[in-house]
Amino acid sequence: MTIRDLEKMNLDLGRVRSRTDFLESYANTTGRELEGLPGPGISSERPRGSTAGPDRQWILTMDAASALREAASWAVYFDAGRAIALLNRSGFLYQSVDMAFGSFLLTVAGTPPLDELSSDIGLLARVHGRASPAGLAAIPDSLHHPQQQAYLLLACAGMADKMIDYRRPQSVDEASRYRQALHAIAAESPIRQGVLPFGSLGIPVRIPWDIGIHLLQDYDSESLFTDDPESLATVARYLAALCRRYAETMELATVNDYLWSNAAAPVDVGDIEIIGIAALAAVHFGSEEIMASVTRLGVPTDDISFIPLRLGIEISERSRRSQEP
Amino acid sequence: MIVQWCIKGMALDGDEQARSLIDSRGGIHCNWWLDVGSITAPKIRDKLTDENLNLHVNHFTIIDPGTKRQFREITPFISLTAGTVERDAAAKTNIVRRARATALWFGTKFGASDHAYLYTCWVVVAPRAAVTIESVAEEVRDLNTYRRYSQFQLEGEIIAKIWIPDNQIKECEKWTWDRDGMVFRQAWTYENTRFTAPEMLTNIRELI
Repeated sequence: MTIRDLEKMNLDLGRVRSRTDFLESYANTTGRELEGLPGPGISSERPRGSTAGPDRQWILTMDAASALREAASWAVYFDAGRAIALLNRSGFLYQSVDMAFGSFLLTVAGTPPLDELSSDIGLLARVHGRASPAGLAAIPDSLHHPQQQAYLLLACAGMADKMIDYRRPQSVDEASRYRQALHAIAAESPIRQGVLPFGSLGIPVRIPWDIGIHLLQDYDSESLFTDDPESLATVARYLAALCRRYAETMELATVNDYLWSNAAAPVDVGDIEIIGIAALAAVHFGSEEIMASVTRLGVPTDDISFIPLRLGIEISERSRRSQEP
Repeated sequence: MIVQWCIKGMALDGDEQARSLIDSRGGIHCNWWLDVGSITAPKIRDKLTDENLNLHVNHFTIIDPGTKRQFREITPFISLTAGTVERDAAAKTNIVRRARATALWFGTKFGASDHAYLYTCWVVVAPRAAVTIESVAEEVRDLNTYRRYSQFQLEGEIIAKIWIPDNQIKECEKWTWDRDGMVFRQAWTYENTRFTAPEMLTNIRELI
């Protein structure tokens, strides 16, 4: 029960609800500001010290997207449905400014931009110096950062899982072709050795990249068929390590009781990266399988370290249930 | 030196108190000054230490062993927010945080109140740590316990010392929170007629 998780961390449910409402209200306010921006070439008075022009549009969009992302990370503790809705809103805003993180959020929320999978694979190929057919759209600046490439790889892996419909056998073959194309790019990428910080915990970017590679393995939990029999165990090991690191970070953050108890500590109490990776792993391997594998590695189910894994699985399950006919 | 625009979000008793903070010409005082009523130059030097800055950033409510009071009540520092909006950092962290968001959360008493007062001001920030120098503010980059993206200074926190002079405060804005409509509205703006624009500190000399 996630509200009990808040109690474990000495966080008051009322404060967490208030923080969620605040962030959503703030994002709505910024959204209104965005709608009120003048078109190109029209001057407008702006606050002293602030930025004008296209940068202002970018700042407002990113500001609203960031607030909605954080709102989702709090809402997941008491209302998974609301968290999914907030992730969707946030994801669309990130996408509108060409941030691959948006595709990651949408995929985690269970509404991946499947019609973009093919072009996303093309973008990942091109930033890795592969095929570059003429006439393609420019590579977004943000995608030159390994962190955004890692989000895109994770999103594409999740999309390949989502496109499988066992009532349509051809969808299985189609997903398999996409996975092979992605694997060919990812397996040779220098990001496999990447050390740049990724996500709220600042883990080396090679970790989400490797998780992405393992989520590209064909896997069927019923027949236990997989290209790489170690994939489930490897992703579970990564998740266990991330969960332990999360617990250490939260423990450190509680030292500043003033900020912690007022939901103002600059840490992600609902860690979107771990939650997102757990949700994608639950779709790929199955909720029971990933949970059991992580538990076997000694992550106690009643510990703070287990919280982001449970939240991710809950998001995945909730999203699946909401899409059932 | 960097001239940095900042916002101070405050929870005050009402509009009159908010406006009087500008009308009184006193500027924004640190809690230590407000607490003792009058301060002296030697005492300021004693207060501006790395140890006290650490307490302000990481242990705001800890009981100060010397005074047996919470440090927040006697801090010589003033927290401000400048936001973080740099594009490259955003591509690495996915996060843009404008000063207004942080100021509103603190100004609404962490969501307990339906309104907040936001003071827009400027301070001079030193390019490196200079805790003992009263006239410059500090960027909190390496001091806090939160290791997340510390190289990008995600929170955009700026710490002023002792006081922010009245003529560096441009205006006060009152924001109200419509919780049912899930939106904030700017209720009014109160300009400071004695405000001095920081452009006069520019290091560009015009051709005569």
